[in-house]
Amino acid sequence: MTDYFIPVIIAFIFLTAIIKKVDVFKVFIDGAKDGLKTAISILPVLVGLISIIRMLNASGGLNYLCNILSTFFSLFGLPKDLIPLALLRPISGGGALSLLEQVFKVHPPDSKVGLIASVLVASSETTFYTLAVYFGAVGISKTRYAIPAAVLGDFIGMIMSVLSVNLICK
Amino acid sequence: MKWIFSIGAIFAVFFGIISGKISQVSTAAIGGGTEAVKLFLSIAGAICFWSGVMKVAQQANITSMIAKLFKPILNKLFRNPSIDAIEAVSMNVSANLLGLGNAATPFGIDAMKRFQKYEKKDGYASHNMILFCVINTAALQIIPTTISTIRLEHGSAWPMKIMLPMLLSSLVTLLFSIIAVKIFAQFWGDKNK
Repeated sequence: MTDYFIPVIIAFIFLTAIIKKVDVFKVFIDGAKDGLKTAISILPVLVGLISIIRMLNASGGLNYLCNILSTFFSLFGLPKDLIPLALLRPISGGGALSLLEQVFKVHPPDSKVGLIASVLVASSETTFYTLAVYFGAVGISKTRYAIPAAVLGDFIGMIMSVLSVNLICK
Repeated sequence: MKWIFSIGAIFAVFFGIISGKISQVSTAAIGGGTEAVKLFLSIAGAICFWSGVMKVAQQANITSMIAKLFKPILNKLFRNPSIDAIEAVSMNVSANLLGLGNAATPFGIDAMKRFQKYEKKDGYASHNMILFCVINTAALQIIPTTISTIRLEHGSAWPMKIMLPMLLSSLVTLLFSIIAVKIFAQFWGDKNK
């Protein structure tokens, strides 16, 4: 069903535009040009962010942080095997997906831990990437309470993914 | 952001030295840029494409129709948002709800630019910008496309089983995130807007 979404949306937009006599191709190219500018404006942000994360990862520092935080996280009922996933999720989207596949090898997707892992990844975002891209695009570096509020949200998301699986998937 | 960035770098170098992994850190520092450009290349096409589609939708008055739908609630959440900011936010929210992450990003960046247009340009994030970003990081979506595909690949008998718990989890998270932003906005010291 979801396979139909994107094509149908595109067809709907183009059809409406033709009916309203919009010069579809010219307007599309104009918009795509703006898109290219946007994409280029976020490239430096990506370079900075990804380099730092890779450095942290290579130094073993990320692992060390995971170990420190794991006792704290298990207080909230998060299974031990999912702590690295919860910590990586806000930082790296691709990293979280490959970790999720690792988790599935030990805990099948329909087991309780597998379900919690799925909900955890599906119901949260790559927080730091999102913040960096959005604020980077408008050239703002003083983000004030954006990071505390977003990180608090991620933390609540982690607790909620455990709670909601326990509540709904018996 | 600047603190996280510089502390992250210093921490990585420091930790690399004491754990004897400094050569890996060096490789990572050089290779990070390459990886970023690869990621850029893989998303740039989608961003261009969706920006083009968005512009067509705008000219056909579709975006203003969608904006009308979201206007009442967005007007309450944000502080005096301009109508074109509401339009971009509505498009971003609808793309996110449908799980079209690549389409949501250009709309989101547009929304940030439109917020900035009507607000003070002093280098500080405004309340509206922060609220918008935090709403995005709460990741509300209706259909978990990517995750259910991975679940299916790993032999799940019911890939969409996570739909309800996911909805519950992200709705509660979204609610708490909005409340957190509103509370922080009251008490955050440096600039009170």
